[in-house]
Amino acid sequence: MSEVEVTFQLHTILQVQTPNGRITALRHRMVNGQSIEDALQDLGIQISPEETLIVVNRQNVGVDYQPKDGDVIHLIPAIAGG
Amino acid sequence: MNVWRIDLANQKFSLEEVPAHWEQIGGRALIAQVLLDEVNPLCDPLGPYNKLILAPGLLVGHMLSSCDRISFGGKSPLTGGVKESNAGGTTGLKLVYLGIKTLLLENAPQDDRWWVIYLNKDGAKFESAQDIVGLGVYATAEKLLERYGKDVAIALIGPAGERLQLAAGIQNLDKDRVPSRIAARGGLGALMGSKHVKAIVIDAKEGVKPEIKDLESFKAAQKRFTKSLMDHPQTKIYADYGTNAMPGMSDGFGGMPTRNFSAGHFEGLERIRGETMREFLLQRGGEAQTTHACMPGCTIRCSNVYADEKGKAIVSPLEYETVGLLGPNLGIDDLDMIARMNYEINDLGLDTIDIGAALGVAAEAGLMEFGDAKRAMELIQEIRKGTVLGRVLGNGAAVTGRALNVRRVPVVKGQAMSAYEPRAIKGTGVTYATSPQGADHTAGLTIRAKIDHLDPKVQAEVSRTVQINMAGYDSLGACVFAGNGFAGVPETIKQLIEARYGWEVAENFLQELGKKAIKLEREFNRRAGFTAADDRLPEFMTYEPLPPNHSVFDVSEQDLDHIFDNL
Repeated sequence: MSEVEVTFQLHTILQVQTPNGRITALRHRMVNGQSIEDALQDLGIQISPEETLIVVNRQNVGVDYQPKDGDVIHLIPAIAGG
Repeated sequence: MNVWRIDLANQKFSLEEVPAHWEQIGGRALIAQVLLDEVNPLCDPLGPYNKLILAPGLLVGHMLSSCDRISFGGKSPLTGGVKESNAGGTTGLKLVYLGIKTLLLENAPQDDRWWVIYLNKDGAKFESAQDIVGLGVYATAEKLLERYGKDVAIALIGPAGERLQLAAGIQNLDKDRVPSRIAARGGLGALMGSKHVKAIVIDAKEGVKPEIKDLESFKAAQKRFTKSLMDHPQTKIYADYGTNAMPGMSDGFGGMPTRNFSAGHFEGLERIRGETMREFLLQRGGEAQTTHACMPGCTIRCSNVYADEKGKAIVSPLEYETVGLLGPNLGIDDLDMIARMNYEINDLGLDTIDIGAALGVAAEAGLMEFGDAKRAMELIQEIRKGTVLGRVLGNGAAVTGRALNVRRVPVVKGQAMSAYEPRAIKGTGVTYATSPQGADHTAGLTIRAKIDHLDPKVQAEVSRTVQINMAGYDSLGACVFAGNGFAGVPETIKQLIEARYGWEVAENFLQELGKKAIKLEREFNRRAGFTAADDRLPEFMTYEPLPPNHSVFDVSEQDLDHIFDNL
């Protein structure tokens, strides 16, 4: 089974403060063909799909999206504007 | 409640009953109705026939969370069309305590005297403003608070409004008496300046809370709304990061206006985004606050106090639109400098969006290098000094573009775009193009929608829906973020209105109100000479591809022209 490496870019409340600083991104290796939902489960990240924008290549995608090698996946807790 | 009229030509005050067809509207919708009824759409916006209109929304007066906003309006000196601009703070609440449905500043002064209009339960008095003319907004507020005491609300203008500059706004005290809540858009500060009114002081110490016809029902609806708002996931995000939670989201879609709207991704994003700002504020301590309420009773608390490295406050609040237009739009990635520019622009009484856009245009014209914050500050000081260049910049991006012969000018109907690139977030482009208000982030953003933001075919419908809702909220006096609470329990809008006033209203009262507001506004603009040609983005956005998406604005003219059919 081939693998792909992706980066999850965490926004606002999904960023985690640690003694060594803020965790803003996570690199993750996953089996080619798995979905974002699978990857989030492996990483232990809980999101509400309704309230989170998942953005890859500047496009909204769903949790069923199957990442490609090198994808940067933005997990953005949705807000309506500023 | 009553209509209060202030006649600047004769220094007279009069009070009238509310006409029947004004009763069931407030805020933005009421402003549009007053304009249609009483202001010649062809008048000079800075002349005697225009009126400055203050109109609290229908729900103002009860410290219902995020629902005490005050709308200011008139024929816009900036766009030449209808204008409503609203703000938080305490002005709306105190006007309602005095029983004011709408306050109208009418006619033109006959001499050089400047006035403070002092309002209390007995009516209005004209008091001299000669000692505060020329002062900045912050010093003006201090002097007025010394003179009138700490319990008053104040709406005031800065030097830019006095000089009739087209990007001047009207500042209002927040709950901590800082004049930072700005009805910024459309040049209404210049309209107030044209009446020679430096400030309106509202003394409601002997005022009364408005009557609620069915208190029990009102409280029950209030409880449900507040719970829905507090439980909403967005509320926590705004409380932690303020509106500056937005940069990552805008940039994520390639929609962060960068270097005068020539790119949609900013390489210095990490240094200006809300997550970094929050870290700064927590580390710096002192007067810094990551969360702060602009209105009494607000449970969202999206405001903040931005402080320097020693913990001394620079400005409050520092918000996304300001960060976007003074940051990436100028190629600047230094939050401290952005905050200092924000303070200066506030003190002059100007709109940070239009000034940020004007500086971007000035940079394109070669008056500063993108990224040079020191030079940007020098240009702002030109406005304070009143030099020819400063007078140009203080009139906003459209005038600056014409004066400096720049073609890439991000305005619609003469008003600058906020920090969403319409070639990347095309639904917001539709809003910018078709809102009767001109390009305006409060008229209906679409970035939250889970759609393909680049597909031109799906944008008009999304924009129409949010524009109608926003016009409704602006007529209720509700902050855009209160909408998160109402979205979960939409029936509470009907319940609150019926309990407050004893009326019977439709289930979709919010949308009815919004549609009415937009319909009235479009009619005023039509009579003012606006046509479909005014409902367009700047032409360069239709042929100049925006990196990194390399997209142009290609929503069809058909969609733009018919967006408000069957209102």
